[in-house]
Parts: sequence; C-alpha cells; structure tokens
Amino acid sequence: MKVPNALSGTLGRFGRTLRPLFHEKMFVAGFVMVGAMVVIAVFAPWISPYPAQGEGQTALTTCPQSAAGICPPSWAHLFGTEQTGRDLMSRIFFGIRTSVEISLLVVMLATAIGLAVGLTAGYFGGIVDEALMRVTDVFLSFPHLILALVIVAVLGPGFNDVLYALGFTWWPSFARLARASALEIRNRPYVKIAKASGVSNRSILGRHILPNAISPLLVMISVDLGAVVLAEAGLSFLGLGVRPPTADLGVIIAESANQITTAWWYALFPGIFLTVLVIGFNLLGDSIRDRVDPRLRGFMGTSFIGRPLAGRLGLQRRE
Amino acid sequence: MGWYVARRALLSFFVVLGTIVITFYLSHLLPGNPAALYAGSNPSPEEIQRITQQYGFNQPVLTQFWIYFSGIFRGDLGTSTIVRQPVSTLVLQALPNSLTLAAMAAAIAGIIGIPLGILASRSRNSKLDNFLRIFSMGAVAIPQFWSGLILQLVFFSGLHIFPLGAYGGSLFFFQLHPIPTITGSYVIDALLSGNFVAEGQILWSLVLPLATLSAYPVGVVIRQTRASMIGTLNQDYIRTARAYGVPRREIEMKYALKNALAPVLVSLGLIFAGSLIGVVFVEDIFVLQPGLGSLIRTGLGVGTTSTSIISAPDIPLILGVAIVTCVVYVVTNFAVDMIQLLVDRRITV
Repeated sequence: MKVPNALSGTLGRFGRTLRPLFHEKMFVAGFVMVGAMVVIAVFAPWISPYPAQGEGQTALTTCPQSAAGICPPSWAHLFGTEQTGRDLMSRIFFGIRTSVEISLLVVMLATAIGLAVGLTAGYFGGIVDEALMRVTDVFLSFPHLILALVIVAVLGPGFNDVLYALGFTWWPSFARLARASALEIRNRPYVKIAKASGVSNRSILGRHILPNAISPLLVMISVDLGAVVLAEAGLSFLGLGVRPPTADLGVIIAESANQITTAWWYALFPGIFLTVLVIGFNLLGDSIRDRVDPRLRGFMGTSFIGRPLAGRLGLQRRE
Repeated sequence: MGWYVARRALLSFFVVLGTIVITFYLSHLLPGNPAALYAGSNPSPEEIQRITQQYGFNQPVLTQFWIYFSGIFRGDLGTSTIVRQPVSTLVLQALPNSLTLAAMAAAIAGIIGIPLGILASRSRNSKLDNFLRIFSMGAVAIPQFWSGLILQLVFFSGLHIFPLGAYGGSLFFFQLHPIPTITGSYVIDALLSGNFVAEGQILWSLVLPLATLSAYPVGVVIRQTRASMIGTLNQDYIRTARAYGVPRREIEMKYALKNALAPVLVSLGLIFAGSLIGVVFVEDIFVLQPGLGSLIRTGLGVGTTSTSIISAPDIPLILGVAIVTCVVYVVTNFAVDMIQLLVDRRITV
C-alpha cells in the first residue's frame, strides 16, 4: 500500500476506522447530541431569542413575575428568565458556546504539553524519561479539580485563567500515552534507518514519531472531552469560571441554587443542556475508543476515578 | 516485594513533595507581591510589612521555601486571612465530616453497585442490563452540583420529604441535640455517644446528599463489576469447572466472584479518594458544615451559592485544603496499592 506521508496515512486510517461507527447506535446518539450542541454553540448569536441578553445585556423585566422576581416559562421566554431578568434560553445557548470553546482549547493546550513531555521522554529514554515521568506521576496522582482550583485562586478567575488551570492539570495522561507511543515507534525499522542515516533527532521526532503518536491521542481527546466540560462547569459553579457578563452553564446553575425553592426552571434547563453535552461527548469518545483500540480501555476512563487507576496500571506494566 | 513497597512509598512522598513545590511556586514565585496575596483584602502597609517578615518574602527563594516547607511539616499551614484562625485547625475541623461522606459514598457504591453489576453480567443484553447501562452512562455524565439541586427541587420543594440541607436538617440542630466531639464527624460521634435520635435525624438529612454523591460511583462500580465478571467467566478455569459439571450458580458465586471482585474492591478505594471532589460540591449545595466544601467556599472569597466575589481569596486556606486533600489522596492510593499487593500475588516484582 502506498502511503504518501505518515500524517495523512494516520489520519486516513483514523478516518477509515470511524466510518463503520455510523452503524453503531451509541456513536450515532453521541454524534447527534454533540452535533446539536455544537450547532447551538456556533450559531448562538443567530438562534438565541435575545442575543444581546445572551451576551450580558440586562433586560427590563416585562413578563409576569414569580415570587422570586423572575419570570416562569412563557411564549416570550420559553425557558423563563434568570435573576437579572435575562432570557434563560439565550443565556444557556451562549453558555454552551463558552463550554465548548473552553473545553476544546483546554484539550489543545493539554495535548500540546502532553505531546512535548511524552514524546521527549519516550524518544530519548534514560534519565530524561525517568525525570519527566516522575513529574508526570506527581501531576497524575493529584485530583485535577483541586489543583485547578489552586491555580485559579492565585491567578484570579477569568476565561484565560480557567483555560490555563485546566490545561496545565490535564496534560499528564496525554503525556503518558504519547510516551508509550514514542517508545514503540522509536524501535520501528524505518526510524532506526533514519537515525542511522544521520537524520536529526528533531526531524525524526517531528516527521516520524509525532504523526504516528497522534492517532491514539485523538482517541484519548475524544474520551476526555466530556470530563473537561464537567470540570470547567464545576470550576464555574464554585465561582472560579469566566467573569460576568459572559454566560456559562456552571455559573447559571450556581446562581439558580439560591432560587431553587421558588424557580424550578432556573436550575432545570441549564443542567439538561450541560448533561446532554457531556453524555454526547462520552458516547462519542467511548465508541471511538472501543472501535479504534479496545486495549486502550485500560489506559482511559471517562472520569477522574478511572484515571489514577489507569496510571497505576501503566506503571505496573512498565516494570 | 520490599523493593516494590519502598518504591511506592517513595513515589507517594514525591507526590506530596511535588504538591508542596507546586503550591509554593504558585503562591510565592508568580509575578506580583506574594505578601499582598497572603494578606487578604485591603491590607494596611504595616500588615504587609508584618506578613513579609513572617513568611520571609524578603529573603532568598530557598530560605522562603524552607520556611514554607518546614512549616507544613510542623503542621503549620499559616493563618486564614478571612477567618483569622490557624488553617490547620480549620482543616482538622472540616476533614472528619468530609471523609465520612466520602467513605459512605464509597460504601454505598459497593453495596449497591456490586450486586447490580453481577446481575447485569448474568443477563447480558437483557432489559435490565440495558437499563443499568443507561443508568451508569447518566450517572457518570450528570454534574453532581446539578443533580443535587434537582433532588432538592423534587424531594424538598415538590414532595416535602427530605430537608433542604445542613446536618440534622437545620443549622440549629446541634443546639437541640448536643453531641460530644469524639472524632469530629457528626455521623460517627452521634453513633459513638449512643444518641440514636440525633443519628437518625442526621442520616435522614444525608439521604439526598448521599444520593447525589454516590450516583456517580455506583455507575462506575456497576460497569466495572459487569466487565470484570464477564472477563473472569471467559477464563479457562471457569470453562474447566463447567466441563466438570459444576452448577452455574456455584461457578459464579464460588469461583468467579472472588477473582472478579478484586479489581472492583481496589477501585472502591480510589472512589473514596475521588469522591472528595464530589463532597466539596455536595457540602456546598446542602450546606453541610463544617466540611471541606464550606472551607473552599469561604477561602475563595465567594458568597454562599452565588458567584459574587466578596473578598480576595484566602490563599493560606486554599493551599492548606489542597495540600491536605493531596495527602489524603496519596495515602489512600498507597493503602490501595498495599492491599492489592497482599491480595494479588502477581504484582510481586
């Protein structure tokens, strides 16, 4: 089989593996859920009933108010309004936008750090490997959210700070996987030949190791996205997320907690959308993982509970 | 074997050390004045001066680290800038309750999750199996800070069954039912002091929080037990037993279960540690005080269940909570490893 270059080969293989997935119920369900959420996220400014309120403009409340001073669902506000009289549906749509945006950026940042650390460790081996992996173990043996919480507490809340906090705590599992790939790839004949013919380490890493290490990482990214969404919403819920007036699902749920006895719609709707987003990502991730490489199941959980276990298994396997 | 134990112990120590280094870096070395960070809201110049002296911010980095590091090992985590009390006192007050909640969640996960997982593995692809699959999927994906609110909505606002929050259902509960402080955990202290009326009320008030907290681990345990059971039932020795005509029930309960449950029991330990995050949210929503959740809420300087910022974050308190959580996490991991070592002889290196 003729492969033009390693990268397109890998992605092609990845693509071919994905095609039969559309015959699987789990994958299709996840695809539909994530697809719907991404459409909402991308087109939020156009499909929101009150885009300006979604972006933070405070509304004059004109609808009949409930005891809490906010409006229950009506034709004007399908999901009701929230505490400053803004349309809840618009806020939720813009909140999904924030969630999707941050999650994708967090995963990108984590992948970049994970690739850099993991490939270096796996390719060079020896003391470099030992040092980098012990640092990785430290980060891996620690609950994401607590570390992220400390980082945001020190840096102060905001979009970028949440991004850095989650990105800098999420990379260890990526690094471990990238290292495992690099260890295997560096012993392949063509890499050995490249090395023997004097190709520099840098270009071996960039042109042979990196492209081949990406495929399993893409799987891990898809498995992790749901957990990242949850972590971001969790930080926001604690008041460590994006700053107002940016809409965020975690923030809306936190604000709704005060009104829980008087305004059922306030807590209900944002949570449903958040849950659908997370379930969608989890379904996608799990079915992609099972299709591409069921052996990865040991390496990846969908959760902070699964991850330390996987880390420990990885440690045992190596010894 | 000794080598393995030593290696795990060393790694655990490095994790704690690493956490201390990371928290030190974040609090001392980032651009900006660390003394201002440690002083809290609106400090006077004298206050800054005093804190600079106390933590040695005007000294070389290594000296600063030594002050920080040796302080932690003496159990001195600094003084909270908001509550104005030693952080170690606050954390020790909060920890027993939070650990109890996490342990109860892990216990519930085992008690409910393992039997359901076995049931699911016995009737693969049946209605029950599919239902449990969907349940686990939901349990893992639904954010706890939301499901807790929805439970309040249904069972407090709607059906008026369970109280909204707080131990015993009201913040004044312990004035009516004084409980001696033995371990610091209300659930355990009420039991130890034989105050069963109080214990009953406390447990009643914990139904919703524990339901919120344990849904996730129950889902994880169901999936894990099912996969582990199926994996074990596919092994050769089970086939041999079947060929010998051992009844199916006996194969499952006597031969398969023991091996299948080992990994599940190990993960219950990790679930205990992992649940601490959930505990933070649940304590926050259900106003369970004292606990790590309310400490974090206080320390962040954020108003109760709202997102308005009241004051600057209480850096010593947040760092203290993080370090103690890390130690709990690491100790649990180490204990789980050691138990696994005793149970599963294959690990012996």
